[in-house]
Order: sequence, then structure tokens, then C-alpha cells
Amino acid sequence: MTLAFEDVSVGQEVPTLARLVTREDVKDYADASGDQNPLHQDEAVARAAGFPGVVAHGMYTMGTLASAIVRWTGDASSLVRMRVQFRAPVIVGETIECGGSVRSLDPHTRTAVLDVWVRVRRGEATEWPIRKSEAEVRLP
Amino acid sequence: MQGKTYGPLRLVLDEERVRSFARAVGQEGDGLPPTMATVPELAVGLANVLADPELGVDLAKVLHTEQEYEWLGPIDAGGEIVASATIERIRERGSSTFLTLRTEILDASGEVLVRGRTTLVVRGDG
Repeated sequence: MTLAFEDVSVGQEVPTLARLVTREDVKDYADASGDQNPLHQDEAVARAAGFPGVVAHGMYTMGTLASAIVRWTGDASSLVRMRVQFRAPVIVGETIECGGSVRSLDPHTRTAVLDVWVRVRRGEATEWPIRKSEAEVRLP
Repeated sequence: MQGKTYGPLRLVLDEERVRSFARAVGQEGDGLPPTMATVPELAVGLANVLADPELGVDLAKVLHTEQEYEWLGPIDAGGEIVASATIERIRERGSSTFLTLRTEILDASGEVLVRGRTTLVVRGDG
């Protein structure tokens, strides 16, 4: 199913994608992306840097957010622009939730601008590894 | 250092690597995961920054704070791409250094497929 421009309205939400961040996925991400920073694989290095455990790559988190958007549109090539701020670390073993909502629509270019985010629950608190960020998709 | 360029670097994203990347980030369906632009971007950008004696950046002090992509055309699995990076801006704030890198990824014929911008903070000792 591919999402059409006419199917989308301002305020509409991108279905939230929840994913457990596993050590295996982060290792696979390191190998596939080429980012072998030990912060993302070695618990001792991560703890020495002041984190409670192995830190997922910011780009792993952004990549998962992009997957949430692409699952919604049904087309990997729909994404034309994305700009994110990394505001908090994601620790292996946590579950991230990736989502967004439609901020504006341009019928001339058949594009939608989305506010997008990634959140994680830590006890009673909700933290936002990605927030104040946006994406733009072009739809058929 | 502002305006310093790295590359061009030629590389191919083979199908097995595309599948592995897609699985890791939870992408369903066909097509190269959009953020796989990170592969050439890292290879020509951060890898060269870390190896550059003029900059002397310590990976253990690097934090990725912002990332932007503009996708203009599809990267094909198995096709040759050409990446280059430019140091757009270096700014000191307190003991930290903010470094902005711009990357362009072209196809073999020179058409721009992706533009990227990465902002890194190199934390100081203070």
C-alpha cells in the first residue's frame, strides 16, 4: 500500500514504530554503516564515557525513525528531506518509539512536512533522543 | 580549516550490505534505506576528519548533535557512487568545538543524489 497525497491531512499522525534496541541490531548497524566507534559496542568504553550502558548510534535511531516514515508512506523513495537533532542517548536494551505528525501540506509539490520525534521511557520520565526535528515526504 | 575538502571517494553499496542495513533499522519493503547515505558520508567525512593531523580530533570526545539529508535521486544497490565532503564551519564554544561537515553523493555520471550535513561536537577537557 502506497500512501497518496489525498490520503493525508494536517495533524495526521505517523503510526508509531516501537523497537527494542538490541545489541545484535546495533552491532549489525555498526557493520553495515561502517561506524565502528567502540562506544556503540563496548560496555566498558560506554561506562568510562559516563553512560549507563552501550549507546546506540544516533544514526541507528535516525535510521529507525526514517523506517517509521517509510512504513507509513509505503515507499522508501518518498523521503525527500530530513533534519534531526540528537538530544539524548539511546541505551541498548531500551525500547524506542518513533513517530511524527503532519505539520503542513503543499498540493503543488504534493509534499508533506512532518514534525518527527523519537522517545524513550525511563521509569516515570519520558525522554526525547530526537525532537524538534522534521521530515518532508513527496507522495503520489 | 573551513572549506577544506575530502574525497572524492568512489564506492559501491552491495545488495547484501543494503539488506543488512535495512534489517538493522527495521525498514520493510524494497528500496535502499534513505539513511544509508550515512555509509559514504562517514567514509569520506568523519573518517578523514579523525585521520587529519591538522584537526587532531579524538573520537572518544565526539558527539553527533545534528544530521540533515536532502534526497534528490535514488542510490542504486550495486551502482558506483562518488562522495566528497567539505568542512563548512568550525566554531569554538567554551571548551567545545562545533564542526559542520557537508557531504555530496553523486552517481557515476556526476548527478547529485544526496546532500548531507552533519554537526559534531568535540567536547573539550574543561
